[in-house]
Amino acid sequence: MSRNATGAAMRWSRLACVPALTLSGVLLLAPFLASALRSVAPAGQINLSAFAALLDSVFLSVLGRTIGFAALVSAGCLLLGTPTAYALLRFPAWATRMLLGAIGLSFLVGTLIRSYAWLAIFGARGLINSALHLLGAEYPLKLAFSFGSMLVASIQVELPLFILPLYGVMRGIDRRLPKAAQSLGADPVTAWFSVFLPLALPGLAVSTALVFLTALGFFTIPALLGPPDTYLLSQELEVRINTLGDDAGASARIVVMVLLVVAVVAIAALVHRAASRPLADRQPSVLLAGIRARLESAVARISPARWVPVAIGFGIVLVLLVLPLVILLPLSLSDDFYLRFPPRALSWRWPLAYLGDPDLLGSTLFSIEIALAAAAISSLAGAIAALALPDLSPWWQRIVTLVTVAPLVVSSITITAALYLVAIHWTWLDPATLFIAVYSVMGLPFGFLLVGAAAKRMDPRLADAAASLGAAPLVALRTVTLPVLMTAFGSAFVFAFLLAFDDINAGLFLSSSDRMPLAVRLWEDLKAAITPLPAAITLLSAVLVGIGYGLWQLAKLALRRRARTRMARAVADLLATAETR
Amino acid sequence: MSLLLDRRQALSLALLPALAACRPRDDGNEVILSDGGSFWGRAQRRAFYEPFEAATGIRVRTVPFVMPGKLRTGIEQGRPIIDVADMSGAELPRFERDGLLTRVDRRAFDPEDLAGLAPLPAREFALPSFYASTVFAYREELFPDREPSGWADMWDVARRPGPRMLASGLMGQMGATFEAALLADGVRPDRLYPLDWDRAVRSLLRLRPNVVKYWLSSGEALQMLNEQNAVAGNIWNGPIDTPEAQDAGSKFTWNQGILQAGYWVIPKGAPHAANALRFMAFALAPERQAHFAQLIGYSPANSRALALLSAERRTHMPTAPANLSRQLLQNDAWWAQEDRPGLTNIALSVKLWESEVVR
Repeated sequence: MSRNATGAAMRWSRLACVPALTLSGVLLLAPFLASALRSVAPAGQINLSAFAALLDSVFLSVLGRTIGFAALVSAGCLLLGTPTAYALLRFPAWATRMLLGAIGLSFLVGTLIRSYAWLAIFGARGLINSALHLLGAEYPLKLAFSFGSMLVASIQVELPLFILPLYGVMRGIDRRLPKAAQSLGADPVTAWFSVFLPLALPGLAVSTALVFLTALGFFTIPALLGPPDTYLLSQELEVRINTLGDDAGASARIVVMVLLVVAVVAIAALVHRAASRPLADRQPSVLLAGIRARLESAVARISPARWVPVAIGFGIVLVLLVLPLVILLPLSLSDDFYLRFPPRALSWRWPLAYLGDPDLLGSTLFSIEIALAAAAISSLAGAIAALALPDLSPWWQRIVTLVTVAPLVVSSITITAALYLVAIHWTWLDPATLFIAVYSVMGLPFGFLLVGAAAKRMDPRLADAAASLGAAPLVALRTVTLPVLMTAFGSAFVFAFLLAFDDINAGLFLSSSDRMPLAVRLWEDLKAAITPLPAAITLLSAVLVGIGYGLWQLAKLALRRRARTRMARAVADLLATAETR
Repeated sequence: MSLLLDRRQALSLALLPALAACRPRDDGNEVILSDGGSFWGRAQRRAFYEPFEAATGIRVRTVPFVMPGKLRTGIEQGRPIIDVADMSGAELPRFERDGLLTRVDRRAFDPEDLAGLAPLPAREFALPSFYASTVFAYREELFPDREPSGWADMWDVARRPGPRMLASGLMGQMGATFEAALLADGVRPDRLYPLDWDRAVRSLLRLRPNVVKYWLSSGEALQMLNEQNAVAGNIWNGPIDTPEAQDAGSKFTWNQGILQAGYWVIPKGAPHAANALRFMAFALAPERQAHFAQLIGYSPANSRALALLSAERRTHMPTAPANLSRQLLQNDAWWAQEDRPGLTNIALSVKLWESEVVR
């Protein structure tokens, strides 16, 4: 009986992974394989000239520079994000809420608008230079179009991605462990370094790898804010496809980028595994022990002030997150044609320009449509796969996880470039559908990871109880598991929606002759003239989102009440049945 | 304008849901055209697309300017995403040679409009659509004394210091940066082509320490100049010759401007080729061309439209005789040539830029 049940569960579970595997397989793996094939056999015959050309060109130096840039972004996040994640754990609730609120708002506003906001901060007539001017400084400082401004904006965009997973891991660490170390005589700093940090290491590895890998594919920020000689991988790839029409060269670059991702993921996985072993089993290397001892003694000297670095990191992160958001408000009501701070006069010029432009409104509707569709598809497919995961054999678990999470680690520009090169043959496919499809894949990890994590936290005995009492897996899912997971599913949906709404990388290659997503149209307009228009659109959508958020809170309240009564009823039923047995 | 809405603005707000409700449907009665974004896009929509819709009932849909690499791939795969593409004159010869374009049926046009095409005539597979000039633009305070005489003045950072900007060579010939570099180095305009690559690169490297940005879009270029991130640079005359730019203190000169022709082409296999032809015939009429030239400083391809412009407006046109004589025409045929096997001079310039300038 029990073996039968397990067999049925296995069958169901494999079936449940089909949507996610299909999405990822068709839209991610197949295009990569096609790229690999095209790069080694451009005309149907084996011919490695595309790779030979790579070695012969500036590619290697571009690759080196891109890796260096991504490493610096990761280092910045490590330096600022680690204390911040720790502060989130220990600081008073109001501070935590403020930072999480800023992170949430940053996600809402999106990457393109935030990068653009930095122009208004760093520009010669921007916030900083205007402030300096008021203080009596002469010529505007060259802040924008420098490596520094590009780095600051990139770190800012990556910080939420770094902090959230790390915070999740840190929250899972038993608070009593460092305390126990202290009670055994360790001072707080030693306890932190020898107990807390090692336990947080898996989270650090994951967060750093995520940031590094996504930074490898940055396109808009270097283009908008970088110094004159900025030339990174994604830009080089874009030139291959859009200007030169060099498909074999583009394919070879895609292959290299994917291999790079695989290498980094492998390294991160090794670190993760080593760091996840119980503390007592670890063989501290001499080098690491030495470094740790140095650090400890350095920190011990400032031990009474050990909260200072944490507070400083937290403060910097808060300012970095809030500044580009705050500047959008005066900018959106500016009467100027250009980004000038402070605006010479305030008016509704730009909000009205948006509301009076049928093209922009049409694009907004189109974006909402594709983002809603993609979010629904991806969060459902991801969630179902996540719920089925525990019932799979370890090998299947590994495969499903890799394939579903892959879109998070492969930069979206690589994904869409590869997809573009194959999708151009799919003449039967409507281009608008292609947008939905590509965003469905990119959103998969959210549903999979968030719902998976929530399911792990949930008491597994509830579902087991239902199953042992003869409930079919689907029934147990519907009546017990799903209500509890609604919040995680909702967040996954929101993340996937925002990702689809915000992305412009897909629009670089996949043009729809139907309609243009809003972000793509904004990017095209920004290319022709950098105006306050995007800020005005953000203001309007912020108002809309505010209203939507209010409604959602109401709905959530109602849902939770319903979920609670349903849970209570389910548990009561279970207990009743168990008793009668 | 104040923060209070007047009645008209309030009305437009109220009409918003109605506007939002109108969505294009998909039948054959449409044509897909290019939208160059911002100034250019607005001029295209107002002068050509909206009147065309009103006059013919054919619905116009737009896609952002399609880059040549992408256009080529689309046509080769039998799936061009656009009916009338905007194409630089320098990209054109290779598209023609490779048979990627639809022949322009002269019978669809008013013969007078075709005869009016000047200074460049109609081609078998393309029609000139407008003229732009890559000009030397600068902050007014940089040249209080005189009008700059050419690119040498821009390279002269010793006499007139300040950050410079240049069109990125990643756009090939589009920003005319290689021509500017050679003219700045003293090459005589009549000996410009074939471009001397080594000399151009040397000249570019000489200016490099003073360049704050190699721009990839006119939006960036405008931002650089108007916000004083740069004090001089090259830019297309359309975006810089606007009241907004003048208001911000940016000026330009026609001296040694590089005149560039834009063309309309119908890609082979275009989904609505017949409508595309109708559109081209419609947009070539002098009235439409003049309207376009009112909205942006790009010259009409149909020279008969110049007569419809006011004398003042003609001074803003690159092909007005007084301006034409101060500029050079970019040599499209040379840029399209494959001086190295399989590599046009456009592609070669991109690779040179990658390996020499942004390395």
